Amino acid sequence: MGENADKSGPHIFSRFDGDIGSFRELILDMGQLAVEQVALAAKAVSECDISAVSHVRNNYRSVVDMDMDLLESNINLLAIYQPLAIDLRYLVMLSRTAYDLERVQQEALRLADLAETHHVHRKSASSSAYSCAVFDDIPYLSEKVTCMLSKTLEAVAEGSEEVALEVARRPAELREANQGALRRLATFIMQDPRLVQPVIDATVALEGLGRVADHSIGIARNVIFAVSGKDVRHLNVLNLDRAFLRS
Amino acid sequence: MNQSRSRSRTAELVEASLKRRYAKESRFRMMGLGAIGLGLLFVLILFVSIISNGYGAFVQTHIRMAVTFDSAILDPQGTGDPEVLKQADYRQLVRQPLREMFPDVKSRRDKRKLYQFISGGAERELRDMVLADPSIIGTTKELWLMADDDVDMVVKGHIAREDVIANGGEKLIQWLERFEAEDRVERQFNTTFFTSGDSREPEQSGIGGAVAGSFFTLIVTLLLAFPIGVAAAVYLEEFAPRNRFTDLIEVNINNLAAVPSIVFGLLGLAMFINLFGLPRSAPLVGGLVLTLMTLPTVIIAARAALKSVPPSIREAALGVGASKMQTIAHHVLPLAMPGMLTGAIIGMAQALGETAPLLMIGMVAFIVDVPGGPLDPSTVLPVQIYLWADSPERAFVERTSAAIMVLLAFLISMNALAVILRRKFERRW
Amino acid sequence: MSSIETGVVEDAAVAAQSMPAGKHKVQEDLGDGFETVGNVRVNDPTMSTSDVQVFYGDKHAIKNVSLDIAQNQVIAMIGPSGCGKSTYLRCLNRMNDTIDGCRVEGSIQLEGQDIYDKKLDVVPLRARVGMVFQKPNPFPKSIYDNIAYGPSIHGLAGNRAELDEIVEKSLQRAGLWEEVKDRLDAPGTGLSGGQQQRLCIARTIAVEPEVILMDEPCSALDPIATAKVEELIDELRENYTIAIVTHSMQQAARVSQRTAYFHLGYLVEVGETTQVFTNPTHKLTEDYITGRFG
Repeated sequence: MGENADKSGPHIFSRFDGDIGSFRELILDMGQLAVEQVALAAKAVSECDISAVSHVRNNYRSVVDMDMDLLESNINLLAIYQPLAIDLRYLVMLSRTAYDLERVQQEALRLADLAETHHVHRKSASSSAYSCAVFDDIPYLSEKVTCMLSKTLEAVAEGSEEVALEVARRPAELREANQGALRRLATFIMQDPRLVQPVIDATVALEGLGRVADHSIGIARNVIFAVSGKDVRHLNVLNLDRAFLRS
Repeated sequence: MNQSRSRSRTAELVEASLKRRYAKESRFRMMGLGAIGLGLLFVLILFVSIISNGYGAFVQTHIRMAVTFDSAILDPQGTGDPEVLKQADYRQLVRQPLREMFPDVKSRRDKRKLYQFISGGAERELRDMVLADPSIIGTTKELWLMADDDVDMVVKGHIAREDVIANGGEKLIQWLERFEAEDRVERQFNTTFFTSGDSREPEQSGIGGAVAGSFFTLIVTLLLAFPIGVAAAVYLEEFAPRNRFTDLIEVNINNLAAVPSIVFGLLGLAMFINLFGLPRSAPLVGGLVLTLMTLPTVIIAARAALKSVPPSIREAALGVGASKMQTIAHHVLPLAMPGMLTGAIIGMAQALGETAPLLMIGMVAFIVDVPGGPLDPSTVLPVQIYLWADSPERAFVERTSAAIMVLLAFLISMNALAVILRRKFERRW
Repeated sequence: MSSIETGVVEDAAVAAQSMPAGKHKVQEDLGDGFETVGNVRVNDPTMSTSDVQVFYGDKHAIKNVSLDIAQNQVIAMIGPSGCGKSTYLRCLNRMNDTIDGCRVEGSIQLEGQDIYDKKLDVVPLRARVGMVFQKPNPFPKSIYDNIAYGPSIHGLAGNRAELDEIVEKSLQRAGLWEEVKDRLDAPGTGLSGGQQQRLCIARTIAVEPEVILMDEPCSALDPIATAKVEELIDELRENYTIAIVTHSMQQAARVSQRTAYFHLGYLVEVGETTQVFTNPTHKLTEDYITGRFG
């Protein structure tokens, strides 16, 4: 269970540690795949790359398999070990993380669909009516979002409250970047109203990335709940600090 | 791979040692069976010898005579007074039919020999008949009268007729054969053996007195030893603190159980008879002495029974708010009672067979009457056996063995009762 | 009654609330001055204990335990073997009196009365604080007599009819009436294990106790019988105060409203059951509950 595992120590019934470790590995694999999918899908959108779209779609099959395995493992762990206290919170956290990751996969899929529509629009519109520059902010933001997702997965892997707290505090800078991107999109329309279609596409993409960021924060808050036992999902992130979590 | 190889090696070793182990086991089993067989053999020999000696005593030779209750002899004045009837000469009534049967017996010596065919007890029997029912005066009845013990021995074959003839008893044999020819000789069940007390004459003697004496003695023992023993066990087990003093008491009780019983007899003599002045030879004193002797046994058995009651029962009783006394009285004692009873019965069986201490307090006297209560002088069955074993008459030999059989029967049935009780009340929780 | 000196710990106030620093070895003594984590006191408790120490000869079995037992509630006592939970339970109805060499210090009160007062008779105390044991131990008597014994020795019934009523009511409360009403004369030992335990519970409630102590009541029973007894405990909660010692975490969680964790004679933590089993405060409690040491 990562850093906290050292504090807690291994279980006397060692198979429990093994099984929970396997479950965690499965989720981290899923998470890794989610990060890749989001990056790939965002690239498909910003670079108008159709092959990336089909990659994303193909990968989704293994996502489905993983999802089924995760549910089965989850239920088995609960039935066999009847975990309590920190074990129970950790397991609940992991299963909620699985759910969040599944949603992230859906977002990646939607981004891929968007990339396809983008491609279609570009083809059908005249070159001047469609500017790829509209999508220039997307790589930067998707980089930030995938970074956040990776970081939150690190928090899950290590069971670390600190890393989770770090992630939970990021939305501020992300929001700023998002606002900036939207402002820039507004200027595009003001300059040339014919660019409305790509601007819409870009906005939808930004929304998608925003939701991925929300899921990452959700996962981070789950980690905090698992470790400290406090439900911080609806609290103002800026007020979160270790002292509060220890009380 | 290595594991399967070592496993098969182990299997080989086990196989190899099997033959030796089975051989050892069968040798052990043989030894056990042999020991049991030997024990049973000895018991068999004991029983066979006693029974073969004693079974004859359960029948007694009787001779049929026609007895006339002559009023001239019994009640010449015809007063009907019981005193007169008591004093009458019943011997004549017995001799009369003998004279009539053998008119040719003339000489005094021969006559005396003839009269001795019938036991002296017959006179008393006739008197008892008349006193019970005076209306038989004047009648003639065919009665079976008890034969003398010598006749009895010849009839039963313990004394060879040739030996009697060789000793000059030719006429006795002739008379006997005459009786037998006339179907006047019969061996009947020897009720006297069970009803009457000791006597000089073997044919008139019985264990009745001894059995009554044993009975009263055991009653006294039971009534004293059981309550005292149980109360002592309850105190020692439930209430006494565990310190060196109580340990000392426990050691002493165990030791007393092993003290030779004659020591208790000496104690009884010194204390009960000399100091307290209780009557000698009385079952009361015998009971007191045997109480002292069986008390350790009873206490030890009772304590074991109390210890065997599981503590969960006590905890349950205490848990609903029973006091310590209530827990013991309502729960522990009833559950321990079968064990205590078994111990008491075994103690009684031991006491029944005790001779030495009772000898010391005088229950060795020659008591003719059957005792009526615990204060009457009496003897006990083992002592009676001992006295008879000393007597010279031939007839006492079989009576001794018969008395032993009766004693053994009592002991076996008491022990059987103890086993049945134990089996019946076992494991009720 | 003796009292302990409160050792001055550096951050005493925080110590009561925070995790002790450093790693704990499995059977390390917590030391004098250890204070229980959580709310030891409740409002208007049925029983209240303060600074209880129990010695078996030289062995210090219970170290300075203060705990309130709340009314009409079930409190579960959990902890590894030998931690003293059964010993503590047996103090509450003075069953430890039956053990030679057992010495109890501190204050134990039932409805404000000190139960170790020299003037107090222990016999009626045990009627007010009843006990159910680990192995069902019905008397080797009939079912009727089992229940009737307590009331008759305490004089709770004036005549046979009243006694019948008490027996019926107790068996109904214990959920056993329907099963045995036709065979009240049958021996109590002839029932199944679960029925015997419910019989013992009926026997305990027949004397109308205020508190029922249960020492691992289901450890000898099969799962169905266990579930029935747990259901019974849940129902009894309305009328009685119950303290139960159990080895099963799940049972403690199902059945109790408060849970107390004992360790090496100390009361480490006490709190609401849901909180103790989802987010215990003290690390020892958590390690025990999650099976990280026993």
